[in-house]
Amino acid sequence: MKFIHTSDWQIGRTFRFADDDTLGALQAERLEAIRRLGLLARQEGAAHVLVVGDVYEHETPAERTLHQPIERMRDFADIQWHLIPGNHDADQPEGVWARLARSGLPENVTVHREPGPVLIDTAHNAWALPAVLKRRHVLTDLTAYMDEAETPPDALRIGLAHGSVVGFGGEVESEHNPVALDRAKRAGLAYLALGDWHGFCQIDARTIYSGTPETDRFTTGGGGGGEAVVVTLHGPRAEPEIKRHRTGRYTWKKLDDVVLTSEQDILALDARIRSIAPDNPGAVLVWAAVSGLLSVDDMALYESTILKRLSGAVACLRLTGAPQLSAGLDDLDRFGSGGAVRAAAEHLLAQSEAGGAEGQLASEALQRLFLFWQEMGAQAG
Amino acid sequence: MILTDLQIEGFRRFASPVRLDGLGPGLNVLAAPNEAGKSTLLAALKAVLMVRSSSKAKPVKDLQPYGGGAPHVAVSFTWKGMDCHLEKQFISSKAFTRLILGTERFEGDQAEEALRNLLGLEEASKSEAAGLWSALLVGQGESFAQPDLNQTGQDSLRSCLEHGVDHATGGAAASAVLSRVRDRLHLLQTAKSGQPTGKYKQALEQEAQAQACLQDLQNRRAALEEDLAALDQARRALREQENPERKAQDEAELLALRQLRDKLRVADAEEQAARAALATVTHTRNSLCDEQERRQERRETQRKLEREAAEMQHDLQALTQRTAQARQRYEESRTQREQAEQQQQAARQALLAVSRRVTVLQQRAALDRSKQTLHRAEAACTRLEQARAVLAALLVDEGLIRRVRKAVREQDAAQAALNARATRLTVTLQPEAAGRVLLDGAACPQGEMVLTQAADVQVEGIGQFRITPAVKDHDEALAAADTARQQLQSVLHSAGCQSAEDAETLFEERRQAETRVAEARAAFVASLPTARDERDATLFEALATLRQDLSDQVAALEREQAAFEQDCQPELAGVLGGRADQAATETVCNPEAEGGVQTDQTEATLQALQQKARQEEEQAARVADKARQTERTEQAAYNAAQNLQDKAETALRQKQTERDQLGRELAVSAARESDDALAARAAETAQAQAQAEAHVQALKAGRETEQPLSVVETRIMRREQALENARTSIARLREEIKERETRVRVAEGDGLDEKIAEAGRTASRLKLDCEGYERERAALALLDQTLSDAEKTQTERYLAPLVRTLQPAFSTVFPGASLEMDTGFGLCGLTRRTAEEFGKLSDGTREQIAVLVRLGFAELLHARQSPAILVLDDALSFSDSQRLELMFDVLADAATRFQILVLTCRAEAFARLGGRPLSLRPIPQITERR
Repeated sequence: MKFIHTSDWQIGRTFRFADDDTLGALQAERLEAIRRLGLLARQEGAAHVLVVGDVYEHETPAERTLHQPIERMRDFADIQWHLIPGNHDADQPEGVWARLARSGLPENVTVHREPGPVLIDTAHNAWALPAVLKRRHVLTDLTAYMDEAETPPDALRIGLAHGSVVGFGGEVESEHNPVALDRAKRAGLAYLALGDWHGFCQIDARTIYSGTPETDRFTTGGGGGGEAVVVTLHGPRAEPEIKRHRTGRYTWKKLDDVVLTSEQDILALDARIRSIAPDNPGAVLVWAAVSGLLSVDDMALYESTILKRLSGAVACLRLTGAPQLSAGLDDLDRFGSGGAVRAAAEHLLAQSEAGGAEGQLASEALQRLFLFWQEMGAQAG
Repeated sequence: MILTDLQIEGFRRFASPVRLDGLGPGLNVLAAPNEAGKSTLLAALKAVLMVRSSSKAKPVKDLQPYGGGAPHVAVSFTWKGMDCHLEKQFISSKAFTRLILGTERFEGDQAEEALRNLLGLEEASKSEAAGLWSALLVGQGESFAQPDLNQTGQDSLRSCLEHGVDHATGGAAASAVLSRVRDRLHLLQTAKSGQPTGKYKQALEQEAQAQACLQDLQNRRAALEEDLAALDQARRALREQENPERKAQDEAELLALRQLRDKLRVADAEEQAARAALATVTHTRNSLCDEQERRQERRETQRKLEREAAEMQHDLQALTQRTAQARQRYEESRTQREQAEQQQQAARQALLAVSRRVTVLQQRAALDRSKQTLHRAEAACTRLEQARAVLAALLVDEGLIRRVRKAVREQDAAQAALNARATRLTVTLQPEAAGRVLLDGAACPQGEMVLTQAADVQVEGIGQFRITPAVKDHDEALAAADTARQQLQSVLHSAGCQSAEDAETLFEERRQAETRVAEARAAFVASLPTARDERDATLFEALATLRQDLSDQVAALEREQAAFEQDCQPELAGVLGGRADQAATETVCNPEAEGGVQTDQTEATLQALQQKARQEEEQAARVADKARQTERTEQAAYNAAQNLQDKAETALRQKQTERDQLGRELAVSAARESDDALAARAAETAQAQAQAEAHVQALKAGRETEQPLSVVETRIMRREQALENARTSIARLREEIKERETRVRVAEGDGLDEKIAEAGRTASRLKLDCEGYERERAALALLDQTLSDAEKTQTERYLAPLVRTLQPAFSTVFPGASLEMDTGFGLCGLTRRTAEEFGKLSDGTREQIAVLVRLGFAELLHARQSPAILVLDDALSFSDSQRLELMFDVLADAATRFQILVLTCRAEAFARLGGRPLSLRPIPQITERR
């Protein structure tokens, strides 16, 4: 039996750092990933797609957002989509699933809202054992029932759960919605499909986090997201065959501690970012934490190369921090050896060297003075 | 630089060539009437110095004469000892520029370039150069305003000024940067108030809006969550309420309780009835006992009352007796009091009678005295009248005797006078001759005689002798003597006297009579008690009054006497009768009977009597007082006794009434039911009560183990209430669930979470934007501030020499004034006593200042050893003669350093300026230098 394991679609997610255009593109791409998953299933000959939690980002999505993924799935009538609630879209009385149930779901979409074995594939005697989150956070292991859950002999028991594997990550988050590390073994599961972690992560041979199909943050652990898992079960006791498949379009990259001190540094940064996806820089999102000291000329170079040109090249260039202007008395010679402008520049330089918030401000003012001077020179020249 | 020659042709009104004659160093004055071409001359000078010959701009075309042509100017000047020449022709195809500087020679653009370098001009536009020179060639009307320097002009000035300061100022660059900074800054904040504007303002507003929107969304989200929680709660509560098992159990319990209640109610009613019966019997028995007790009590009371009444009766009798005695004593005391009062009255009457008698006696004595007085007065009066009668008989009074005496004296005097003149006759007769000699018939006396008249002496025997006195005026004297004698005789006659001696005697008598009259009168006056020595009439009146008074007194006395006798006789007799002696009584009663002999004695007696009567009266009064006192005491005692008696009677009556009442009540009771019957009934009732009590105790003992009915009923009520509440609660919960569901349905479709995320994103982006704008704004503001400060500092540094240059000329025209310049080289204010703004000064002053400033610029150029001249066209037209004089001084002084051309239409006014006179002279053609 073959199926696709995916999770954490987080439909309806917004990105604070992104401008409106980028945001629209990112959101559209998340929906588009569903189509890619459907195509992947067809391509792989898988009849089922298991979506293990967090289809939606919010508990109360707008009507349009609510129906967007459902309608995408409806388009693949030949594929059976099995959904369970996640911590973002827990099955609360008036939650998303209740709303969808009221409005009716397509035949090929099944939302598992009660724990217990469910026969999903008669031919393969495959039974799904969903763990159902009724609230955002629970402190009990909802997969515990699987140990005792009865299925026909030789059934393929496939666990579906959304939560944190206890004792694996060690994060604080793992306190909520815990899943026993050895649940697959104890419950005799052929496969335990897990959701909640956005990067691919294999706990053991049968216990796997698929990660999100479209990356949604700069700091995703594990495989970094943007993929789905194609699982082939050859039998209840056989080890599942795992194949990771890229489904994401955007590449998210975080660059920490970029220190700029020279022209070379600036050009290196430019090259580094452009090399992330040389053939498609438009699908790259970069977050760079920038610092350093630049001379007057280098500062101008930084402005033109990074702030203007590179920003236009990538989908999103998010910069925190900025290089500081490193100007000396030599630089002030541009303003001549005397005169009012030079006097003003000297004054600002002295202020900026004093440091502090005022120094920062003086430095910025000085930087602008250089720019204006340069512009005037350019005009005069 | 000194202009030495200027020739123009084809320039506006000068179609034909003209030359400005007389140019030389120092002050040059062209005084010519209006429309002589002064302004054209200046325009030509400006054109040749500052406009490219190749220019085809409108200002150049405007230079053409009316008929058209190619403006052509040639100017010669000396510069640094070199002879120089500049020539330009405009517009035509032959337009050219030629500049000869000493030995150097330039043509075309080269010439233009060299000229600009020489004059320090810069390209203002394609065709025109500009600089400080435009401020030095001052056209008509331009002198009213301060020179409006363009950037080049300012730069020129700056370069002049920077010459004197340590560093190049770069003022122009600073201005340019500053204007850029401000352009950018003012996109973010307003120029005036520094408030955010443009995109920054928009971003701030949007951020606030976004925050508000976010807040609103979060509120709605909170409301939704609250709804969801409440919905969950309500649903659970509803399930609980609707549990059918619980309901059935509740109802069964309720039924059991109701049955128990019914049973308890029956038992309760039974017990109630038994208790009621017991209560009735007890009540009857109690009332019977009460009745018996009451009867007994009444009887005792009746007896007691009777005893008390008897005692009171006895007391009352004693009291009545005492009252009667008191009354009797009271009556007696009253009688005594009346008697005493009568006696007092009698004594008082007697006293009064005696007193009246005494009064009568006193009056009578007074009357006697009055009578005596009258008698005396009347006697005196009689004597007076007699004296007066005697006096009246004596006629010779003072006046008469004086007349007599006078008449005697006059007669004597007349006789004497006669005698003096009379003849003396002395006769001495023998004794034998006596009788024989007769004189005038009478025996002749012996001795000397005086003969006043003819006297006849007869001597017996001898004959008769007639002697006639030879007296002068004998007759008059004689007559006088006669008259005197007659007078005397007349007087005497009137006095009734024979002679003067008689008269004297009579007079003496009269005097004595008068004395007697006076004595009598004095006596009469003395006799009158009231009169003084007044007129006789008054005295007689007094006498008459006296007489009248007396008669009145007598009459009054008579009346008094009569009245007294009528009034007092009986009392007096009565009072005195018993005790006083008869004589006294008589005396008192009939005082007149005794006569005056016994008056004194009577009075003494009366005094004694009066004294006695007074004592008796006082005695009687004391007795009466005492009697009254006694009466009052007795009366009080009587009243008290009476009071006591009344009270005792009342009390007795009350007791009797009470006793009778009790008696009646007892009788009625007995009539209704006899005492024996009552006792029998009481015994029966006691038995019945014992039975009833036993019954109640039995019932009570039977119910001790049962639950109290009230508890059971409360429980039932509580159960029923709970059931009812559950029903209501279910309805309410359903209602609430429905309501909440509706709200949730409405809200959930909105996608609040998404909206919140979106709004948060927008808000944070806008916040970043605002922060960016603010950083930008702050940096620009700081830059603006810093640059402005630097420029100001620099400007102040290089303005100092300009101010220094201008100051002497200013001090000449405006003594004591100091000036202020702004960075644009304008004079912004003048401080004389107080600071004055340039714009508020008078036209004349402003023009003078404008000229002085231009003069200063020229001074600066000159000091820097740059070419400088000043041309003024029709300037100083608003100046008064004194200022004009001062300005002339300044101009003349400046002209010692550089050349000044003054073009004026006011030849007379400017005649005092002196200088070289210039004139325009037509020439055949412009002298070209090749």
